[in-house]
Amino acid sequence: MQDFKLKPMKCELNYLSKSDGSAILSQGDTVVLASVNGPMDIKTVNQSIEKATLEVLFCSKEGKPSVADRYKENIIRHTCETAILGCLYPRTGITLTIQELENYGGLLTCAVNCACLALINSGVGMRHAVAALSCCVDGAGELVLEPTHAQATAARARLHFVFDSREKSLVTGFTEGTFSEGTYEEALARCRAASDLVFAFYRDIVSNYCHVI
Amino acid sequence: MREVFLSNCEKNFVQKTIAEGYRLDGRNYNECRKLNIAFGSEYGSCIVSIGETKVLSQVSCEVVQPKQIRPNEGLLNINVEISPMAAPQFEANRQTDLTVYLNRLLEKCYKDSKCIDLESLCIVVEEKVWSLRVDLKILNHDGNLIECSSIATLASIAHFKRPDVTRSGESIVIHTLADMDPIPTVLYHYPVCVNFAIFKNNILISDPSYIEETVCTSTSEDGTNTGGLLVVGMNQYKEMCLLDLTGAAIYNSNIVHRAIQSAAERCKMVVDLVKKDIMTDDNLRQKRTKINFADIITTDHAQSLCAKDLCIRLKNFTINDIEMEEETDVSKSIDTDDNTALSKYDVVPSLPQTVELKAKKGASTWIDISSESDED
Repeated sequence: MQDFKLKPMKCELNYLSKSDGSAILSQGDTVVLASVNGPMDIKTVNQSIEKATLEVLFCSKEGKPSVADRYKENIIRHTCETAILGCLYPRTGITLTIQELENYGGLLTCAVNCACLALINSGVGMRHAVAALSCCVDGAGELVLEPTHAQATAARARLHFVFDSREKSLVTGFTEGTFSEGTYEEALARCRAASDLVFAFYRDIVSNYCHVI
Repeated sequence: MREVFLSNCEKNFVQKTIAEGYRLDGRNYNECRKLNIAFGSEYGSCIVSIGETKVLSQVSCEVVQPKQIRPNEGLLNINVEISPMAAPQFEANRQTDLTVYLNRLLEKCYKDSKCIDLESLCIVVEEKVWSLRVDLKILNHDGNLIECSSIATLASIAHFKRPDVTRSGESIVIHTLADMDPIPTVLYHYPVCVNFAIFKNNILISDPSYIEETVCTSTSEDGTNTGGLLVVGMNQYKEMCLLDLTGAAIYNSNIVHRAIQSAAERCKMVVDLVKKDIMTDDNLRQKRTKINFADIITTDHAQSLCAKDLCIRLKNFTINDIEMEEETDVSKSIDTDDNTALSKYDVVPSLPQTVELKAKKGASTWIDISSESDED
């Protein structure tokens, strides 16, 4: 826990009454709402005898659904599939719906974190929690952790990482732009160290809620 | 997931309690749940909640070619989407009857009533006009979707500002928000859809909850359907622009008159609130206060069973009653088994830790009801 500074985070669980688990999370000015339903009955075609089928839906705020939304869905689905103990619920489905409320940069990392909080809130069995962080390489070649919207759009490269809570190993990683191998290693190390802050935040939120239950 | 059907028991119970003058959440027949409007950082985005029903609305605009028959009018599109977030029975990317019904009603209420000055959206006749698109996302479905989404549509259209446009000869320049002050949409009047549930052909219930909506449109035990949903669209001048009935036919015109009267009051109230909220929001924006959806995140609501989420409340049931009952219980138990120490499995009425008292701290509707009956 060095002097890393993340954007201020704010979260409320059980924001929606009809979902099994829901969370609304703000990271800086970016706000995302996530809801989890399941494990529940799904069509036989989609059932898997080995594990629960995870369905992720990402809704943007305006306009028609786009390819970019599908891309985000894919990343979130792959990330959450590793986190959920799906083998506990064979032949069932878990639906994860994510709604963008405000986008001022870091939407995808915020969505992954919010999805994780909603999954924790829903009580679905999980191997580990996940924390997503982003880093960008600015024009001068300096690494910036958790960039603002302006910084991220002007950046030479953007790197996103998702870590698990137990061994801090990398769950998902994706990048845009060009950078050297050394930069990648450094960004990875920095994000890994900063992920402690995110997990500490999760712990705070959950402890807030569990002492009243 | 398939929709969970109501059992006959539940149906009969709701029918019976309503016939006796009670509602499950302790409201009166013409009492509405709490209405709240929260604006986002962009122009034309808001979340409207009526009780636990929540709808997100966002208006966006683009320049398109106008329709041939109306070359000098802009376009307005309303698009409702119900994702599995609203309730587990909805499927992703699939149009249901409810979506189509909501879309139709809202288009009737906002397009056909001509409340928006579409001619002001024209840039170049026959070539370029603004097209407004209202995207409604149902976040939580707890009954009365139509009223909530109509208020969301109205609030977001009234809040929306489109970029300014200047023409110099042939070229057209669309200014960014920082360049030039954006222009608000012109609204001639503010129509709102108000929803009523009809029970037994003569009981009128405003702002029905999910269970009440389901019960009133379903057939009762003897196979007849005597209820339905009546939607009245009305503006602040008490002019009607929409009337829609689903369910059983009404054979008594009296009930429609009653609905219209009560809708007029409700519309006035809603429109006043929308105008007031937009005014305060505008003032805050002028003072450069940052407005963001992050403001709706609260941390005082920590328990899923606290008063906010209790959908069943009793009208004449107050916290004071509980304390009295439990006090006598304690004294009784002490009287009867004086010597036996309480085992850890006995329920000890330790009030300070119960959920009901936790609720006391947050301003909840439960407390409001109790304070009213205190005065009685």
